[in-house]
Amino acid sequence: MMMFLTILFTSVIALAVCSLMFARTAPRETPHPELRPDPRLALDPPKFFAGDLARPAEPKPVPLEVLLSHIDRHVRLEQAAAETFLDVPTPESLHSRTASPFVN
Amino acid sequence: MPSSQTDLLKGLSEDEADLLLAVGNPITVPAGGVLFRLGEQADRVYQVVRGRVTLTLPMQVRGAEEDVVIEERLPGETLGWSGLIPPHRFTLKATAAAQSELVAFPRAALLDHFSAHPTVAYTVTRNVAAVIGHRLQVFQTMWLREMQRVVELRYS
Repeated sequence: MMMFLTILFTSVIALAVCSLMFARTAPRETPHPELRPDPRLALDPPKFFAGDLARPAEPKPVPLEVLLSHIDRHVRLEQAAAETFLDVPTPESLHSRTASPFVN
Repeated sequence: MPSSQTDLLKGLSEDEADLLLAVGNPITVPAGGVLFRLGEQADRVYQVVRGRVTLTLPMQVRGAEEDVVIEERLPGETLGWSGLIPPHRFTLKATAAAQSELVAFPRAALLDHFSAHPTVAYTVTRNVAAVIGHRLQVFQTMWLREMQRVVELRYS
């Protein structure tokens, strides 16, 4: 009987010590507030391809004929501006702006 | 058009101009026809009588070579002065924008005429120098304007 009580007493103490140690090492149940998910995100629908739609469309390439006509117009306007400068050579006329599509 | 209003012959008397014009050969170039190409041997100087000639340079546009109009020559104006100035290579391509009539002055015949008529040579040489000088000034100005834009784009 004495031996039985000794074993029982020792077991109860060991169980109490183990419980205490477990309680200290286990993570607490209360989550950190900053880790809580944003409720608005949880309500938003999935956006797997929405990014592509939201991105601004790339400009369409200018047709070659149009580009060449722009180059032609630019050269003519710049030449005319250069001729004007040679007629009246001033810093203002040297840097006068034209209606060229390349500089506007 | 009176000779006195042409790039090459201005300053010459009517007789001097007629003698010089007799040195040249009248030619007709159909619309789209090429008068000379970039890099070709230049042995003629041209004066436009009728029509319109465009001077172009090749430019890379989207990976392809395209002729870009640099200048136009109208009746009374001169082109192809590389025919008189060493190394006698055309630095542009000349194409008739419309059917055009020109006078082509072969270099050899022109130089012979100049040897026989020094005063005509002096006047014509001054006229050619004026054409070359004007082109230099125009393109110097255009180059500066483009440089200004490059600097503004890069450093502003």
